[in-house]
Amino acid sequence: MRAALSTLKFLEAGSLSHAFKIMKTHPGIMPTAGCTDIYVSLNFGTLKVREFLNLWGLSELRKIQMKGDYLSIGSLATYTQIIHSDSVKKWIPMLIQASSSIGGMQIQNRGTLGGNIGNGSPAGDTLPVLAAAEAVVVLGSTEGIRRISFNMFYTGYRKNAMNPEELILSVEIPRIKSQQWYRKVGTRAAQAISKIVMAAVLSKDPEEQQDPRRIRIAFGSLAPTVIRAFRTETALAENGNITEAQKTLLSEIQPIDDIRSTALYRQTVAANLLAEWWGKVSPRSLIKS
Amino acid sequence: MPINAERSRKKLTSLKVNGRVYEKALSPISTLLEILREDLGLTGTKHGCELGECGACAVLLNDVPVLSCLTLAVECEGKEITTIEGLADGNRLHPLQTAFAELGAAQCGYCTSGILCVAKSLLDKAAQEKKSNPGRELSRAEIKEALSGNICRCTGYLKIIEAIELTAERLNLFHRCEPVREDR
Amino acid sequence: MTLKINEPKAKESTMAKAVQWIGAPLDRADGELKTTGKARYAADFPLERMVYGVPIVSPAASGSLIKLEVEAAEKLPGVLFILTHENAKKIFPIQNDFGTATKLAEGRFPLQDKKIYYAGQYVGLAAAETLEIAQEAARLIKVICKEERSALDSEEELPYSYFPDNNWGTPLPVIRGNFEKAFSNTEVQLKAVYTTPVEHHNPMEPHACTAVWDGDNLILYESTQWVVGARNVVADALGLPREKVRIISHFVGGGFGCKGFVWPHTLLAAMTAMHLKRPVKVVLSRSQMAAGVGHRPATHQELSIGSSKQGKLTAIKHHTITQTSFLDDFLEAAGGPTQSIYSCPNLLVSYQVVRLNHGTPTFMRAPGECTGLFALESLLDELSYTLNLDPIELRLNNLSDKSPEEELPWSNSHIKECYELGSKIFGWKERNPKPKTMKRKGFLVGLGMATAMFPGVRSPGAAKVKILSDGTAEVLSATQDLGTGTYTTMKQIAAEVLRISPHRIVSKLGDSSYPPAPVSGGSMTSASVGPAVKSAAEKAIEALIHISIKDSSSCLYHLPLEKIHAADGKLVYQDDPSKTEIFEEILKRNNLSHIEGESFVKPDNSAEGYTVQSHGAQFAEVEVHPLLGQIRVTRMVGVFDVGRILNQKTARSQAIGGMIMGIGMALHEKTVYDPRTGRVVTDNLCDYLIPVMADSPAVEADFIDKPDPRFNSLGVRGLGEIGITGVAAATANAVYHATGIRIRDLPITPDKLLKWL
Repeated sequence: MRAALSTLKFLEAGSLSHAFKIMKTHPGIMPTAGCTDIYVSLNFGTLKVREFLNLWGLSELRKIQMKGDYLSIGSLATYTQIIHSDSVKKWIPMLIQASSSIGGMQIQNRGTLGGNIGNGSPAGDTLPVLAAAEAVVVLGSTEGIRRISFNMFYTGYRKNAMNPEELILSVEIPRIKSQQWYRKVGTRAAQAISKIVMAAVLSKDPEEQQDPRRIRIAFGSLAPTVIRAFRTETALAENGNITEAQKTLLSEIQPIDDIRSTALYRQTVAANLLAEWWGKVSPRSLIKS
Repeated sequence: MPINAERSRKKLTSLKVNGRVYEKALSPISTLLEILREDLGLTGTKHGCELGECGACAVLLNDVPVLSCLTLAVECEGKEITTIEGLADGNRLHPLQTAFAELGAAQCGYCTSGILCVAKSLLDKAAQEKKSNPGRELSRAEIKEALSGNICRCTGYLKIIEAIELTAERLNLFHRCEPVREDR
Repeated sequence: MTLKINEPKAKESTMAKAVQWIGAPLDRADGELKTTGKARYAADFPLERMVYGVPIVSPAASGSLIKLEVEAAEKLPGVLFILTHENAKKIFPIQNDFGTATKLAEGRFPLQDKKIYYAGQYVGLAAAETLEIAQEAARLIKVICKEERSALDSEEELPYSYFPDNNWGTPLPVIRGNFEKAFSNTEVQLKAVYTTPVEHHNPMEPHACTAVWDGDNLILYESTQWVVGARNVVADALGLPREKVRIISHFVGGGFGCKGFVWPHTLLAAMTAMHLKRPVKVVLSRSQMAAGVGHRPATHQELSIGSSKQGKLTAIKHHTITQTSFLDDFLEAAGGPTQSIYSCPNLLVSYQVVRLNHGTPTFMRAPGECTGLFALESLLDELSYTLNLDPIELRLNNLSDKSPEEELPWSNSHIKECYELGSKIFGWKERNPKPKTMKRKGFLVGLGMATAMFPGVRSPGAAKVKILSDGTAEVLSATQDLGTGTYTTMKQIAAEVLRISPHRIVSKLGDSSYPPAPVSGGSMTSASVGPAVKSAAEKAIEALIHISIKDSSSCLYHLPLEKIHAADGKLVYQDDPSKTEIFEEILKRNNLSHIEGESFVKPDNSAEGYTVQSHGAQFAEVEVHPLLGQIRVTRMVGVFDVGRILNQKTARSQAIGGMIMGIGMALHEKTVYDPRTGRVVTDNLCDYLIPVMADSPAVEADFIDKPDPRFNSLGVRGLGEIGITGVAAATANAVYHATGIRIRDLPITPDKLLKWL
């Protein structure tokens, strides 16, 4: 049963410092921006929170800009903004692919990157991208600013390492000197919650060829949180044997059956996606060049 | 408790819809959809799912499509809201409306308002981009992707796609490879 | 290039230089209303002092209601009334019957007792000043039930199932010859089980009712496929004379079957409005639509087919296990197509129905036909590979000039032309008959086909046609336009008789105060109401002729009436075409605001001795991703023999819409119930997957367009449903052709396919 919105309290943040203060003084309040996910939870009656802080007006959180050797994307940047950003296109094109795969125009205009992170659905379309990109989440509160690696951000199903009074301010994406790949598999051709999502990068940089982190693979919808397939990455980095890597992958993921897919399908497709990607990026030819 | 307090907290809100300013005492947490339909009598915007899944309630907020079921009315103060009722220029229909009527792209018509708003924004954006990029044209794939947040259960989409293409063609934003089939 | 779709084009008839409006691709009459937001649906009538009603639902799937804790809700400012079983008006029992137009969708009246039959059943309604408050009130109400063991698993309940003994009067099981004997003696035997899931109609417009009392008169703005049925049920149930109840349904945002009969929320709205003496609006949520306004029940179909080596069918058995609720004996008659398309001397069609604690199922677009054809046409495809025969050839082998069911000649059948034209448009010849041989850009490509069918159905229907003194005309009938184009086609029919442009005619529909018409279901509106409009228009002209020949100032005075006919807005004397008089002159001179003809047309006996059935051929091309199992329908063609086409444009749109809904059935749609609670898990449009624009392929629909004059005066058979019927099978057959994998369980999802790829 839908909860009436009139039983809820919506506070407006006039400035970022004001927002920090409200977060501090209103324990349990939920920050919101585009509200796309929140209203859905409210309408489903699954959300227990009764107090919300509307951040939508804080335009300083909407900037996408280069900051030295990383790209900073404000938490309120909408998918539409991301899709049309030249910096994102140059720096992390797989994020554009991920953003384009979300909903239609109207959702892309309201949904924000920060919302996708904060909501933390294991099927969040952009999350594998951030995991594979080794992004850093910038959090803020009255106590100051702190940074946390995206790969350390989630601690469980829709649980994260944020303190209750913290807000997500931005995401910092380091330069990826590598080929990027993104793939979403859903039932419908569009407007689908994924059965499985994969994002991967492979560095072309000759200087990085000895770096085991030159291969980074992340999956969504395979586990309670977005995951990095660390052991698979290592296996591939060591010998480039895809069959071995597929076996490793299957040993490190334990997907479940749900109404969107089956565990068996997710396992098989994860392994197949891995092979498809590996075939396309053709590491041997890259190493030679 | 807060229920009473919250509800009584009605706020005089000024909403500009289709060029007209409405001053209304609104509960600050009503959705734009509910205000449009129940308070302003603009029932052309449809209620389809309340969950942002169907697109029937899409309207334009500063020319950008949003789902009115996921938007608070108070957030829209100071912005231009355009609904289906405001698409025509007086008695002159928007070219999309003409094309939809011509091709029968509105069957039961319930998804039509939302689709027209999203399609208008798509065409406007393409026209804008064409100014700096004269070669800019829409493709069927682009139309399909942009409109994939709007569900239609009747038409099978073909007529909708054709009507958007026809409008784009008339606005010089689309080049047709094959003619639209003329029904005998 | 030029596009001239704007101006309606009409065929020049060879006879009498008259314009043929029937069949012309006229623009929709309601096109502008719908593209400007002016078309008003059931929830779009702003009324003074409107009250909003939100149903309160049972969390339990079975048992009985102990009580509703309403105190907290009642204290909410703005809450006006909580309707419960304790304060609900007593409802008069009525005969729940289709034939007398008093059919209930759910065979039980709401809030009359404490019994609970399914999760989501209404146990009350919260009414408040705003929608929000009503929603909050409904949420605050605690529904306390005594839960009993629920029947939620079809397999577990199988021992308690029943074997229905008839389907709409046809005795069951259907037996021809001796299946067992013939099957055991036949050269080729095939057996398979096909399953289809529960599906929901999910029209874009949720069910809605706005109830307004004016003294003892009740007006319901109701989203319904049958204003007359709704009027009768509501009036009888509330104990009101039928003339005091008026149902208005000018526009319906899609129905597909689920708005065919009255569901309980309509009565809750009327009861609340009666109590509060204010207008009440009830709009169902998607979740409520998942629970209590019908669905297509799941089927488990066991099929056995015997054939000669040459591909002549010798024996068929089709046993369907399906489901219904504890409230109604609904039957998803999946065996229908099996007994009525191909001739086969030995046949056994039977059913077994399991009762579950789910809401009552209802008719969903081509009920029985599309589930049954999925099974039958898939198995025929399997047989074609066994026999090494082209699938079309196999079907042609088994057609007959007579209907297999009644052994009567077809009233009019062009099924062979459907296969011919369809395979030509689709390029069936390009198909390599061997599976798994066609590839494109890394995808496996497959081509499949299936037969489509839907019986010819018609019911009594009435209409009135008025010629007004300004030279315009009106068509009035209590039928309804669900988006199908009835507003447009009915005035085309009138235009052809009245010989005036359809632009001068207005159709007025969707109001129970107009001449009665049947439910817009069973693809029967055109065949039922169309002939009534034709006849009413003829009567109107006749009345006008009568006036003119009695009018001494008319140039037609005293001329023989059989020699006067209508042409181009005038009455014309056949022997001297200079003697003409325009309609409005006659009316004005005689001080008449209008003249009218009204007609009630019952199915006559002209089709006696014939079987009336529509057929079609459907083709699908799919691309399958070999690693991910993702399936996309890339091309579809459907050619249909549905009698005469009333409007090429709306007809084609209807057929294409059905075909895309068929893609949903084939690849996406499935309702999932929580096996423990019996609640629908996929109770929203995010988890219940309807095809989106990106899923729509290149699609062609075409018609044979030959009238079936034996069926009715227009030769029209209707086409609302046939478009969906063969799609699931054609798609499944294409998937097999692409991959060599036969999926016999809908929807065909990547999960099921990838296991075998």
